[in-house]
Formats: sequence, C-alpha cells, structure tokens
Amino acid sequence: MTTSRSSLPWLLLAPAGLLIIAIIYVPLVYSALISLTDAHLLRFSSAEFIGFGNYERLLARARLTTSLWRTFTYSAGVVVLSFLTGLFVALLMNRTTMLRGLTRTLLIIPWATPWLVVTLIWYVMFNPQIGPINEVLNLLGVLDVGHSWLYSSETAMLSIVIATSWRLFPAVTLILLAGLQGIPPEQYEAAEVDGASAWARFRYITMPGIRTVSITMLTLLTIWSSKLFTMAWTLTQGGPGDATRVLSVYTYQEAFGSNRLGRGSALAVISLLFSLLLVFVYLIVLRRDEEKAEA
Amino acid sequence: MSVARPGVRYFGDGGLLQDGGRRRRFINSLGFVVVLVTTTIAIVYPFYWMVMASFMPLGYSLGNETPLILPKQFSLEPWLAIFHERPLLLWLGNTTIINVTATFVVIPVSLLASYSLNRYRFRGRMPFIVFVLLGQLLPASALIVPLFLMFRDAGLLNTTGGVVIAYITFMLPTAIWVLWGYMQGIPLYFEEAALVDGCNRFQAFRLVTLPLAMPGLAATSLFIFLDGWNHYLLAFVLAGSTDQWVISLGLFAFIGAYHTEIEQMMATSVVAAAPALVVFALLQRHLRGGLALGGMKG
Repeated sequence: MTTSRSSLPWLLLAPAGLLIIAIIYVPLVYSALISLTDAHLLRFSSAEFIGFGNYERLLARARLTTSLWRTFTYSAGVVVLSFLTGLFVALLMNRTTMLRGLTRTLLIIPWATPWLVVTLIWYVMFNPQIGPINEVLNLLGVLDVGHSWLYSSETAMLSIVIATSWRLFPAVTLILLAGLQGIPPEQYEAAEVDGASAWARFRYITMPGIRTVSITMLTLLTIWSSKLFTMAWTLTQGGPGDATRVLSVYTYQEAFGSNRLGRGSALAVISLLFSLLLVFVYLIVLRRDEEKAEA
Repeated sequence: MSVARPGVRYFGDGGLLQDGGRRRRFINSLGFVVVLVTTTIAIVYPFYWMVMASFMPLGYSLGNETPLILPKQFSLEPWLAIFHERPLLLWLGNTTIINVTATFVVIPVSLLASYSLNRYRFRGRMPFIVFVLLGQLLPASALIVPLFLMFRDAGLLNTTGGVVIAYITFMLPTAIWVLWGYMQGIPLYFEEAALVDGCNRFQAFRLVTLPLAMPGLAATSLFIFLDGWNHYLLAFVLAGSTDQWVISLGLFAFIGAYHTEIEQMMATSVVAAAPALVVFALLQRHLRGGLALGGMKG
C-alpha cells in the first residue's frame, strides 16, 4: 500500500466518480427537489413549489401503507423462500459428490436466464388455460377448474414470489455450498463419536459454519428483492387491484401512468428511505452477531 | 445413483439429512434420490417447457390440451414468424451494441477506480467506497423520474447513446466491486519489484499488474455484458420508440397484446436467453466468486 498525498489516486477515481455523481447522485437530489413540487409530465415548466404537500397527501392515504406492506411481504416471501430452498439444495448437494457437476450446471439455468425471460416463462406456467401448473394439479386431482394464479388477489403475490425465488435460489445454493465445503469433516466425526444427534450437529456445527455467508446472502436478497420492478410489473402490473403493487411499481405508476412526477418522486424518496432502513437493520444485526461471536 | 453405500460415511450434509443404521440409510438414500429428482425437475422444467413450446404450431397451445412432456405436433412456424413479423434482429442488434459499448467503457473506468482503491491509502478513500456502495443500493425506480427529465432536456431520450450512458452508470458500482476483489489477489510486491528494476508507475502497471489482472478483467466484462440483459426499467423509460428497443422491451410487448401468442413469445424468449446461457455454461468454472453475487441482481 502506498500512502499518497498526491492527486493521482483521485485522478484515477475521477471518471467513475463523475459518472456516478452525474447519473445517480444528481438525479437523486433532483428527485428530492421534484418531490416538493406539483410537477406534471405534460406541464412540467409550470411546476410550483408545494413543500411537503405530496408527502402529506401520500401519507394520508391507505395506498402508501398498503404498498409498503406489499413490498415487505414480497421481499420477505422471496428472502425466506429462496434462502430456504437454496440452503436445502446446498445441503443435498453437499451430501454427495455424485451428480454435483451436473446439478451445478443445471442450477446455472434459472440463474443465467434474463429476468424478463423468467417472467414470461412463469407467465405461461401460471396461465389458467394452457399453464402446465394447473394441468398437473388437475391430473393430481387437487384442482378441478382452471385457477387464475396471477389474476386472483389471493394467489398473485404468492405467484410472483415463487417466480422470483426460482431465479434467485441457485445463487444462494452455490454460495452456501462453498461455505459448507469449508467446514472440516473432523468436526462432524468428533460430534458423532460424542453421540450428537443429527439436529445437534446441524445446529452446532453446520449453522455456525455458514453463519457469516448466510447473513451476507440474506442482506443481498433483501436489498435486491425490495427494489425489484420487473416481476411485479410484467406479471401482474401491480394487480389485481393493489395485490402486488410494490413500491417500485407504485412509483412508476404515479410518475408515468398518471404523469404525476412530483408525487412519483416523493414515492421514490420514500422507497429510498425504505431501502436504507433495511440496510441499517442488517448492519445492526451483523454488528450484534460479531459481538456475540467475540464474546 | 445410490448415495449412502454401506461402509461409506457421509458427514457433509451437516448431519441433518442422514443418520446411522443400514435400513434407515436405505430409506434415507431412497428419499434422497426422490428429493433430488423433484428438485431437478423444479429447476429445469419451466425452462424445458419454454423451449418445447417454441416448436409448437402457431396457436397450438390454445386449441389443444396443454402438453406436459411433448406436443403431438412439431413445427418451426413460431421461429419463422418471430423473425418475419417483428424487428427481432434490430432489437438484438440494439441490445448487443448497447451492452458491448457499455462494457467497453465500464471496464477501463472501473479498472482505474479499483486500482486506485487497492494501491493507495488516501483521505476520502472510505467515503468513496461508501459512496459507490450506496449508489448500488438505490432502486432504479427511485431515479427514473429525474433521469427521464434530464435526458429529455439533454436530447438523449430515445437515443442509443442515452441508454448506453444510463447502463454504464448502473453497471459501474458492481464492476468496481467485482474487480476490486480480483485486484486484491495480485500481490503488491510484484509491482514494487518492477519499480526497483527501473520501471515508472505506469510501466509497472502496464507490464506487471495489467497482465495479472487479465482473467479478472475478462470475467468482469463478461459479467457486465450479461448484466446488461437485465436493466429493463431503464430501457423501458429511456428508449420509447420501437426502433430503439432492446430485446427485453420486445419481449414485454407480447404480454401487452390482446391475446398472447404463446408459441412466438416462447421462441423469442429462447432467443433472448440463449446468449447469456451459452456464455455462462461455457465459462462457469472460471466465473465463481464475485459473479455468483453479481448474477443475482434484478
């Protein structure tokens, strides 16, 4: 490492820094400013400053609360489902070296598929007339009439959670598998000799062994699922009603559907605060975890 | 496919999925195979169905019972139709131009940044790292309104250049992040040795560090290029006219229509998914680590 007082390090950072400032941070400030006006897409030049009017109006409505709740449900659903599935498959794969190469290659499929293709695949999977899911449920005798997964408010959220998790869990598997392989087998052997039960071995050897990587994974899953737009927009357009209207969709609808740029920007600021809150919570969890590990 | 052969002990599952006893082991291994097969089907089947549906005659899916394994008729109609009825090649071309250009800008820019963050300690280094990381946290939906207005005022709306600029910026934090990891693996003393031998800083970088960073650069470019397939909202708002569309926008147009042409939609999906899958499949061995995390982003 070189401790430098010269301007060289900053010169090297300049191109990246300037681009990030121009395209991410300037818009961010701009967004905050627009959120204080009644800006409308079609008469933007005559926008007037209205203070926190947009925020007041948004907070007075149940819509925002509902949308925050939907974002939370979606994010929590995706984090839980993709993490548990990912962990389960990682444990399976770690059990044997047979088929590991093949499974690893298969896992690449959902993971490397572009998001929009994933949504279209699941659009068809869930289709009431031609969708294989209903067909299989019919064959099993679980379901008689074609159930409209995406257009019924009871199952729309569940459907997009499943579709999103299908895309995300392989990454969880591959990363947790690497963590599992780092646990020395001697620990299990010693535990077995001491008569530890399967659950005890999992609880006291496996879980601590993959703790850090799990926390990282959960953080990333939370951040990404909370800002995802493609799924909820393409599959259900936030509907039916408001069943899947997560914050990113709500923002888009206000700004470009209703052309209310001011209110859309206020929502953008709110979703930003929401993301920061999530990260903050995780940082606290992580710090507490480290303190516990040290103690 | 049996796993728990007698006399061979497997501890690797963390103990959760196995326990002693020969008979119990047989039942366990049977259950194991069932679970493994079910999981494999869950992973592969939706994708398989997409490929299969792309070879059904046009309109087949609406008129017939849903084929679960194979349709009774096969046809190349959807494939001919998508290239005739839609400017698919144009959209693929746009996608490629945008992604390749963005990658070519992102790589040198992020290389300079990650080199600086790795090799120098200076006041403001940590704040810069936080600044980059926070940039990655921001949802695209939170920035889309001001970006739309700024690009409109700058005359960049509906231009390939505008989309490229937006893509570059949203790719940068990830690229810096991934490259930084690779750079950390290159020992500093190689470069110092070159300095002792009379190279200047630039020569040391060009002759020593750069060649060593090549695999990392290759992996990062590839990852950035593929990530470009996913920035849907940016393209959706910034590229309005169909001439400027990227493939993901063309795909979405299938759903907006009055009735969805499933077979064509699936054929187009195969086209859109193919480049990413082929590249991933060929290079997966070289791309673990940073890529594993990056590949999840929406």
